[in-house]
Amino acid sequence: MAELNAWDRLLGVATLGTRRTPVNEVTLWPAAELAAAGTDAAAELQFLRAAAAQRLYDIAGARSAVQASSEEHAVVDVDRTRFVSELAALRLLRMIRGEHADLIQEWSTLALAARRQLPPQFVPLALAHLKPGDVPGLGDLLGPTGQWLVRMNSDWNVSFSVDAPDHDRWLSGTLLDRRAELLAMREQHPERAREWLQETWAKDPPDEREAFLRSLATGLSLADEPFLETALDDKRKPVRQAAVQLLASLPDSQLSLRHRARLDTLVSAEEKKGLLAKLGKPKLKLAIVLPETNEKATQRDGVEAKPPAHRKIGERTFWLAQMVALVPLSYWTTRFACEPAMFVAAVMDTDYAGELLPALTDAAGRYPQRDWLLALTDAWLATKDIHLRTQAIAEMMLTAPNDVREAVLVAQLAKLDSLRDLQVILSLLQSVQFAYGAELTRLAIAHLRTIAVKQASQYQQPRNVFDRIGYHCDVSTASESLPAVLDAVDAQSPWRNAVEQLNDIVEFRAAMRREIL
Amino acid sequence: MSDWSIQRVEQLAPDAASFKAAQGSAKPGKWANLGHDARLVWGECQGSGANPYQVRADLVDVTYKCSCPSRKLPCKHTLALLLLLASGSVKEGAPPEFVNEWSANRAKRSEARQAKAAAGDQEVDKEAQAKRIEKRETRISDGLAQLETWLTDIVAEGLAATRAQGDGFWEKMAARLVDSQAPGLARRVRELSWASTSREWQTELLAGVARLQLLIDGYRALDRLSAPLAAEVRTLIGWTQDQEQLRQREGMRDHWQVLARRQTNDETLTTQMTWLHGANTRQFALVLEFAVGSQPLPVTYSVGQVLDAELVFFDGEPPIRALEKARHGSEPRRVQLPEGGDITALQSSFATMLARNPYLERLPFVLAGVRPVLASDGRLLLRDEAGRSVPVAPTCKHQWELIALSGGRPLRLFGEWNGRVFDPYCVQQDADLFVLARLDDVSFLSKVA
Repeated sequence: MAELNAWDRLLGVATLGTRRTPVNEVTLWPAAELAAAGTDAAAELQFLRAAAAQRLYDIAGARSAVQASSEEHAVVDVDRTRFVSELAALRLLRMIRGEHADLIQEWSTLALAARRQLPPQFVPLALAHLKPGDVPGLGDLLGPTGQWLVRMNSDWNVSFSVDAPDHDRWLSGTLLDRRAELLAMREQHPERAREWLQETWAKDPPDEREAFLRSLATGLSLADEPFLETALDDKRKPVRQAAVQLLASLPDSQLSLRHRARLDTLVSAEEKKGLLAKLGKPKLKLAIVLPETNEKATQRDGVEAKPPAHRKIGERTFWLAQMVALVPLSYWTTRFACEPAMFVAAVMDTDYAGELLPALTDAAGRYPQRDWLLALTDAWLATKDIHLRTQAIAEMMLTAPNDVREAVLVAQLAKLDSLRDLQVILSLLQSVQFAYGAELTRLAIAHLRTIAVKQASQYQQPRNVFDRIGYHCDVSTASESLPAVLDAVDAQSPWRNAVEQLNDIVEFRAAMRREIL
Repeated sequence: MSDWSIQRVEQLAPDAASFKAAQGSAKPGKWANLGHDARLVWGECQGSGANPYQVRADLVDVTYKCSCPSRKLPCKHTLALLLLLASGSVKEGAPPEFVNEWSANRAKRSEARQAKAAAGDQEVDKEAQAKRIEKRETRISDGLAQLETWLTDIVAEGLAATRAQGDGFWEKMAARLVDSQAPGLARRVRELSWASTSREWQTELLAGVARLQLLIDGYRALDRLSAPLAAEVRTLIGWTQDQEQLRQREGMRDHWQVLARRQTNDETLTTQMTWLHGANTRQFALVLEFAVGSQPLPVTYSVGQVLDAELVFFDGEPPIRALEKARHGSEPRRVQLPEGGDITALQSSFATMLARNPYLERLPFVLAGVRPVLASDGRLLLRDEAGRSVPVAPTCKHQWELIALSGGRPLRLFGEWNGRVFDPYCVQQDADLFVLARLDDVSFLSKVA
């Protein structure tokens, strides 16, 4: 055992007390000549003085020793010209603290579009508060400093985008690394990526299989079909479901053809009868036969046997609806030689409208064509439950290209009356989760203006009722038109606070754009 | 003049709501008669009342007045005016009548105050004052005797037994020392109560009680100490130095750079500490400002500011605490720390100072060429080029921010060293200076513009 140093000896005495421990005055002092000071005093006082002296000696004499650095210290290579401005970083800090936290994603999109990174001193804050799932491209935003820091703290889990996919990292990296490698390879060489996946498939655990499979959505083609068909026989349901989704996205896949063959016999056009049918405009009437059984082969193609407990739907209707969801929409228009609107109208006339409309909507998520989306939103808007219908519309729009969803929403909003359809307009605008274009923004603000000026509710409207619109509208269009709206809505209007808050959000977003560079 | 930034205005705001409201009013359309000169800024803001509010501010002394009825200080109109100034929306001009009137009144009041201070010396009843001092000396000496007995008991009974006594034990002695008019000693006894709950309570307690004994011995031997050290001991016991008298002394005029600011709050008192560094004298100075209750603190200083000013130092060894006697003007801002030393220099300067003043608790220091590195136990160390390292104070919440900023490269930090840990206040990397800032529970490095 190492010999106790002077301070430790003093601590030993002090902890138990001088009443219980004998004190040798002379050895207490850091230097013998000091011991003479005040020998006439009580032993306790001498002890305290010696301790004070020892403490001073220790602190004054303390010198750090040179320690050879065990590892070569890495220096991060940063490019200052790529940092977002200090003001931009401070705005991110404000959002992290809760002010318009919903705009963090937009902020990071702006920064990434400008090829900018967070200045290093803000990287730990982002690592501690932002989740990779919530902020796409977080790794790029954090730059080399982020890559360097995550190696020091296992709490931080961020994947960094891969410039050159590396086979070794694919084989031996963490789950996040492997996903990033696979995705990078898929973007450059879809075939090679699938071969990589097949290489390790047998040994990959189910959760990882599912995640890897989903990354095949990038660069998906019929060349992937044989592999995906084998995945339909996987032991785990999430893996099978992922494979079904991918195959259903390929209009000419065998899975799609098999479902079409099933639907060929279940759905048919009824004979047109009577004078009206001959004279009036062409009309489609559908005859529907529900499947009798759910064969093994059909189940393998993704048709589940039991509906989820919360859905009020018969088993056989549920089987049919799943098949409808998994075929391309063009199947119907080709088969019945009609426009989407006519087909949707015919579906709404059947007894199964309530189940088939969501199924077609599901398919529209995979095949987002303008005419179909218009027909389906028309059908949804005619249903009763405001909340449900705007939710369904919003979800269907998520995967559609920008110009398509913009056109569809503009068309729908133009048909609505600001005051009569107020609830629908607000609910629709609050549900959609994508950036409006200029046209949609103008239309939305025109509706809001009419509502705020003319709708005389006696209740104060919630301040945040227009927030979603503020988050998604086109900033430059909104900045131009909002001052006039503010002038038009007087201070007594129950909508005044909401309009002001909308304006604040638009100003916040405009500032965000100015500051990034 | 244009050293007003939006951040600085934000610091001035008494609360977040005021700042937000000010941003709403900081639109040139709401203002008339905006203007500024080298020292003053003014404008008239249309508020909810019939007459516009007249707002004016002195940018050098940082005082302001607004005709609005708000009790917030500064009000949102004042903040809005400063925001407009910070964003460059105020043109130079000649002050209108309401501004001139205000500065003339201020000048008159300040003269009156100085005249009163000069006259005050004669008014003081020397005899009564001497009596008061004598009475206090008696009380203190009684207090010291009680404290000594108390310390003797602690050593005799042992620290372990003492620690088991609980908070009341320390508080009782602290209260007695307050009665003895030795508030400095009372504060140190209260600190022992915290020390007794720390991880290294044995060391903290023994060092604390030994220090108290050293103070008792020092106070009893005041006449044998050098004048600055005697002043230091008196301050530690709780005597204050008369600021009016200090102001009469000749000060030290220099270009003082504001290096760092930090606030501490206890229940009733907010203390604002500002560290300055003289370009020519190479002297550090610490200016303290106080606010009672919810009173706002004056924003006399901002980090990076350089003042041509005369400071008077309180007596001490070394003299550090200072007050500003006169301000002659503002110099261009400076966002570089003064040249610093390495770890050997830090430790030997501290030892040298300890030899002159064994009561020294902290030393301001610029530590240069150090890299922040994580020790295996998770503590943050600062390591210099030679391979020596010192730990960063465990209270520092900016560990990762410092590591990230450095990216493996050396930094220069200004902070305080207490002989064991370094407590950083601001940090420089290449051409940029950052203060260690906090917003609620979020730590960040705020770049000094």
